[in-house]
Amino acid sequence: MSMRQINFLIAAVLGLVIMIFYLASRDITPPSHVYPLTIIYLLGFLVVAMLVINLFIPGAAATVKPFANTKKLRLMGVAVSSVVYIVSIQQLGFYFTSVIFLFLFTWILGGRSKKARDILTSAGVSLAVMILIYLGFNLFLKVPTPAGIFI
Amino acid sequence: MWTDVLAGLVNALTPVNLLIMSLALAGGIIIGTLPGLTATMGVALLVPLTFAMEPATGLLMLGAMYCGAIYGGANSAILINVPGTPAAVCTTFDGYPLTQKGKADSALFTALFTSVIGGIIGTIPLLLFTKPLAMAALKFGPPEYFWLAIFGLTIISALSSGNLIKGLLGGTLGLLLATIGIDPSTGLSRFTFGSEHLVAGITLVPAMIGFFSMSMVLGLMDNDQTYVAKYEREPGVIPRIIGQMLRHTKMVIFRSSIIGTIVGILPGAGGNIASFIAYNETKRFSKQADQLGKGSLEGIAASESANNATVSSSLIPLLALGIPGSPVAAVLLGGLLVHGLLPGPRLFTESAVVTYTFIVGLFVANILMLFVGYAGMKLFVRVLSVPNYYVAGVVMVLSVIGSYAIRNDMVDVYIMLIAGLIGYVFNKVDIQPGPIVLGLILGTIAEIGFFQSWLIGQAQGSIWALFFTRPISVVLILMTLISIISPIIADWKKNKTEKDGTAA
Repeated sequence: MSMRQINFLIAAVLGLVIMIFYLASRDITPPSHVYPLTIIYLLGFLVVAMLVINLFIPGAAATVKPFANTKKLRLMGVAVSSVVYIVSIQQLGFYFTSVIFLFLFTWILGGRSKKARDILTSAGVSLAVMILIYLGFNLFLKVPTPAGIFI
Repeated sequence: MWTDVLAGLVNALTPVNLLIMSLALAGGIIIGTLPGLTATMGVALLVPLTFAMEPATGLLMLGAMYCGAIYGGANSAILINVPGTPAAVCTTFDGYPLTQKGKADSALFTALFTSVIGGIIGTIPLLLFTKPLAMAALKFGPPEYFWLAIFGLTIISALSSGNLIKGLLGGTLGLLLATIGIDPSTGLSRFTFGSEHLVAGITLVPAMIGFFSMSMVLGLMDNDQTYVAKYEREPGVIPRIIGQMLRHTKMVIFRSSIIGTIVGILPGAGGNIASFIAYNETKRFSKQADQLGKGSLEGIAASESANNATVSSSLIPLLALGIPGSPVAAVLLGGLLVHGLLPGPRLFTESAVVTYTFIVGLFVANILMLFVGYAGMKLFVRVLSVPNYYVAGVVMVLSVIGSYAIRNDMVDVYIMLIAGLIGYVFNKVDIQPGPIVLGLILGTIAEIGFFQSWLIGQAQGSIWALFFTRPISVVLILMTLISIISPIIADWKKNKTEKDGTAA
C-alpha cells in the first residue's frame, strides 16, 4: 500500500472519529461546547486539507510504501502477546504473569534455542529482572501492582 | 540576607548533607529514568523520611531528589527513545538519533552538563528575586494561560519534521483527546461514550508511555538489528562537549534556561511546556535549524537546560506565596509544613537559615549532579550492549507498571497499549508522537484558560477586550504570530537563495 493510499485511509478513519465526536458534542451544554467544537472543526479542516494535497499534490507519497519491509508476522506476534500479557495480569497477578511473559518473549524472539544454556539464560534474566522490580517498586517505592490469583 | 546565605552554604556543605543529597540525586535519577515514575512520586516517597531529620537536611534531600528526577528522564529518552518524564519528550528528538549514530556518550553528557547549567541558572532568581517574581507570576490570569497554550501549540511546526499537515493533525488529535473526561467548566463528563473508565480522561503519562515506549518496542521488533544501537565509546567526551557547549551553544543554553525559569514560575506550567518552547526558539534562532530533530546537540541542550531550570523557579511562588507551581512543589509544601515552616515573608526572616540552606543547597545539588549523573551515565549506557529483545521485554514490563502506578487503574495500562499500537502505525505514516503529546499537555490548559476568560469577559462586558488587550496577552499574541510567520519567511528566504544560486 502506498503512502497516498494510506493517507486516504487515515482521512477516512479520522473522518469517522470526527463524526463520532461531533455527534457526542450535541449533548454538551452551551457555552462549554465552543471549545470542543472548535477542535472538531479544526480537525475536520485539516483532514480535508490533507485529502486535497493527497489528491492533487501527492509528491513522493504516490510511490513510498511505508509498510513494505515490515515484519508483519513478528509484529502481529508481539502485539497479540502484549494484549494477552496485559489481560492475563488482571487474572494471574503482575509479577507471576510478567516472569512468564518475559521468559517467553526473550526466548522466542531470541531464536527459540533448545540449548539448555540459552533457555536458562532467558529464565534467569526474567526472574532476576522481576525480583529487582519487586524490590524496587513494591518494597522500596511501595508502588502497588495489579493483583490476581498469584502475586 | 548575605549572612544567612553564607550560613546556608556552610550548612549545605557538611559531609552528612552532601551524602544525603548525593543519595537523593542517585535515587531521583533512577526514578526519572524509568518511564511512569515521576518526580512527584519520588519526592512524596521521601517526605516521611524527613520527619526524623533536621528541617534543612530534609529539604535538601527533597530538593536533590527533584533535580535528579527531572534530569533522569533524559537517560531513557536518549538511549531508547522513551522519555522518562514528560519534560524529556523533546530530548528524544535529537538524543535517540545521536545514539543511533553511535554518539550516545556525547548526547548523555550534553544532557547532563546542560541540565546542571540550567538548574544553576534557574536557582539564581530563587535566591535573589523570589518576592517580585512571585508577584509578577500572579499577573498571569486565564487569558494569559490561554495564549501561552496557543503559543505552545505553534511549536508543532517545529516538531513536524517536514510534514506540517500531519504534524498539525497530530497536535489537534492530542487536543481532542484532552477533551475526553470531565468538562472543566461544568464538571459534567463528556466524550466518555458511556464508559465510566473514561470519566477521568486520558491521563498524560500512560498515553506518553504508549506513544513513545510501546511503539518503540514494536519498532525494535520490526528491524533486523540485534542491539538497540551500536555503542562507540567516545574518549575525551567531557572536555570536547564542555568546549563545544561553551564555544557554540552558550546562547542556546542561556536562552533556554531563561525560558525554563520564566515558564517554571507560572503555576500549572512546568518542564513539559518549558522544554517545548525552548526547543522551538532554538530551532528559530539556530543557524543549523535543519539539523534539529536529526541528532543535534543544540536540541538536547535546549530541552534539558529548560526543564531543569524549572525545578528551582517552580519553587518561587511556593516559597513566596505558598502557591505550589507544580505537583512536586505541592508535595514540597507538605514537606515544609511538616517541619513547621510556613511559606511567605516569614520564611525569609524567622526561618532564614533553613530557607537559604535549602536554596543554596539547590546550587550544590546541581553541581553534585554532575558527578552522580556521570556515574549513572556509565551504568545506563550499558543497555546498548543488551540484545534488543531483552530491552523490548523489560521496557514492556516497565511500561505496564509505570502506567498502572499513576492511578492504580488497569484502564491506564490499556490506554498505554492502545496508544502504543496507534503510535507505531502513526510513526510509520509520518504522524509523529511529539505533536500528539503536546496537544494532550496543552489541551486542558488552553480550554480552562479559554472558558474562564470567556466567563470573566462576559461579566466585564467585553470578551474581546479581555482576550486581546491585556499587556501580557498582547506580548504572547505577538510571540505566537512571530512563531507562525518566521518559519514561513525562513523557508521563503531559503528557497529564494537556492533559486538565486541555481540561476547564477
